[in-house]
Amino acid sequence: MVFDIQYAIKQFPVILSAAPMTLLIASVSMSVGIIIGFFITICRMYRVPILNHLALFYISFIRGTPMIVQIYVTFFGIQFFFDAIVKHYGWNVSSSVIPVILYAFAAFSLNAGAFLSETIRSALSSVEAGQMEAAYSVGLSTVQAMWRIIIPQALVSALPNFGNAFLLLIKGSSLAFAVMVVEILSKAKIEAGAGYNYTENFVVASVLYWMICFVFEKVFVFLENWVKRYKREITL
Amino acid sequence: VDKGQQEAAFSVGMGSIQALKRIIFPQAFAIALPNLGNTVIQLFKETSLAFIIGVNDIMGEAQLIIARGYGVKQFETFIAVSLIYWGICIAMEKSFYSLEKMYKKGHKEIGGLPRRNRPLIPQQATGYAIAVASSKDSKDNH
Repeated sequence: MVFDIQYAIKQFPVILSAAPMTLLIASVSMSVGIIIGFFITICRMYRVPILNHLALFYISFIRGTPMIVQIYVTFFGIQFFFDAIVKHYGWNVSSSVIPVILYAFAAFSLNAGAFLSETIRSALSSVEAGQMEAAYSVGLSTVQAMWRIIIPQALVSALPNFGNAFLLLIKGSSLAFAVMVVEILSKAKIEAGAGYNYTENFVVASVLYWMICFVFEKVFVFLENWVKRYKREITL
Repeated sequence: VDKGQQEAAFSVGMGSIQALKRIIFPQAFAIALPNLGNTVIQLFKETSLAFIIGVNDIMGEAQLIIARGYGVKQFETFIAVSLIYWGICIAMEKSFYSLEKMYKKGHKEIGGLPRRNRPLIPQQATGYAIAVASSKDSKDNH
């Protein structure tokens, strides 16, 4: 068995065509994850009675189970409850009408939400309480103070972790093959299955993941410097 | 671990290997434990991917059970799998936590001790217990 480099180069654009799906999964679940994480953080910081305990339970579950199991649980769970509701109301649809990409979005968003909530919590607590008091003293409301004073400062310490989480999501999205979403790894598998060229296709897929992660690492370094721009002025 | 720890160990006549074994390593281990615990737990979760290449782990067994039942009750099977992983992870977390507490026995943090147990001389309450403090001394402080 030899490594056919001509074939690998030929396969590169074919597998690249699945890259948008990978990026879509990563960016959608990152955005939804930030919203979930922020909501959880607020619930935990202000000790909202029931939601606080629910959040702890949720974080513990997500951190204690592997990603692939979470994907399967979301996949079969959504189908299970959808079918149960349909049966209860006697509608004439089945769970096969749900597009598979939605399962991937749900699973990855829930996963990202739990991990990002820890990041967001540490970022928000890195801003000292005096900032909030100062914002109150000039007459800002809590929401205004959060949005204008606390979050811009918290972003400075949160962004490196966000970058890490995003890279983990890009790599984690390769597990979406379990729910039949065609992203980079699934595409490579399909292509490999056609002619048994597993080595070439998987090498191409790995190079592609590497390149994407490399680009996003640079992007996040740039963003980090951008949010730090006010901080730099103070130290000068 | 502070360099002073090694110097203190040398000053009481320990060799460098002895100092490493008795003084440096226990403290370094206590510091490394939380990260070590995280890595072990992560690795454990990642073993769930081994079923892809045909290793018969928890996930592989679940897939076999589902295949044997012709694909019914998949949701229930995966709920069971997640509960198993969750339980093992919680047990690992707890045991790493107790291990950490065991190795940090002689380690005093600022304000870490209950008020009644704080030493009377304030300087002693900060930093690590000095190397010469035997385990007997640190027991007295707790």
